[in-house]
Amino acid sequence: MKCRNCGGEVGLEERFCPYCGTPNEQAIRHFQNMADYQERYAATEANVVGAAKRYAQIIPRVVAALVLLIAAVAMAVVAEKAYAFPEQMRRRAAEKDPEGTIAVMEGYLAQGDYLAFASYADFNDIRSYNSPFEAYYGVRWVAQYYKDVVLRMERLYLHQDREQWAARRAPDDIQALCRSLEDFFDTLERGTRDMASDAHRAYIEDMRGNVMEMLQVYLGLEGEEAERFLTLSTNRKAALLEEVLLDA
Amino acid sequence: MRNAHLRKRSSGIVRFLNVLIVVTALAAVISLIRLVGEFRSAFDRDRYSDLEYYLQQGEYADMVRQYYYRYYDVAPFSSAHEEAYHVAGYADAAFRHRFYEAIGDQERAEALARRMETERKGSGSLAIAADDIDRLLEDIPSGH
Repeated sequence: MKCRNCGGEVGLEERFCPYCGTPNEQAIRHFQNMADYQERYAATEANVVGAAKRYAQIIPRVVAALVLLIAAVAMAVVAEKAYAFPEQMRRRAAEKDPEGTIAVMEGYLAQGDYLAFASYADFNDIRSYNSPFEAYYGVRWVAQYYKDVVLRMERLYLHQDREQWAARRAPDDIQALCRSLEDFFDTLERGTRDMASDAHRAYIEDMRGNVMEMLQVYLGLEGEEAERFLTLSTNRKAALLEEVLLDA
Repeated sequence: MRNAHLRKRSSGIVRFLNVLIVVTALAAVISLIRLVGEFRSAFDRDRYSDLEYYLQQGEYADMVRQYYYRYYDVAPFSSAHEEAYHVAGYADAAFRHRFYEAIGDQERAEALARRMETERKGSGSLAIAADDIDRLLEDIPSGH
């Protein structure tokens, strides 16, 4: 460029004209701009490096906290379901060997050991609404209620201290037995149409017959008396049984 | 100045995150301990092992209910509870044996009589409970 004063050639980096010594304003501005630029550059560099360092501190911590939180939640959820694991394992084992499982169930049914059948199916979580066990849906359903009736009948008698039982637990146990009987016969009634064609209806009828016999053997209710008893409301059934079991 | 402000703010965030990590780590450790405990409990053969308590109370029916919880386990209970487990089995077999005898089903009554014998042998030092159960069942089929 040319000097404003003398017109001589002056370089951008010459603060003064080499010919007349006049200050080169453009060069002065240039140097000022460069200084400003370098200052801003340094500041920006410091900001970027500082930000990078901060993120380098923050991001791993955020990731670590998230991972630990997810792990804590996942373990809590699995812990809630832990009780079901042994059952699931047994169910899978039963499903892997359906012939063996069915053979065991058929064995218990043939022996008339319906409590063992129901317990075996429960313990191995047999999904009787799925193949290959769907043929056992009806009989298993009934057997579960049958088992409850038998166990509640046992509760009426298997007490060392009968007086204490009569004073404290008898009314509740008797009510529970009455509800259990109702559930059993409701199940039979609701499933009658399906059970008529059920492959295991002989066992279902056997369970029905056993329960009617139990009413006679354990509760002293025979024939028509037993049929009438079953038509009573829960409370009336319970009142009758309390009279029979506790007042004698 | 701005940098100083940002540094101050980020050190606050880092401190907060440090605290958060400690808290979530504690939560993870607690969850892990609970998880291990729940699995041990789930696979614990003696999970339903109030047999001795019910035996002490003379509540044989409650023993039978627990008996059926683990009826088909390879080893229903550990050896510590085995005798009580057989007492429960005896109570159930004896009760049902009375029933089948009363209705004249000899085949099932005999099968249950065999089971009673096995369970009585298994009850070992607690066989006296089997005698007590027989006494309680004497009134059946008159029952009451």
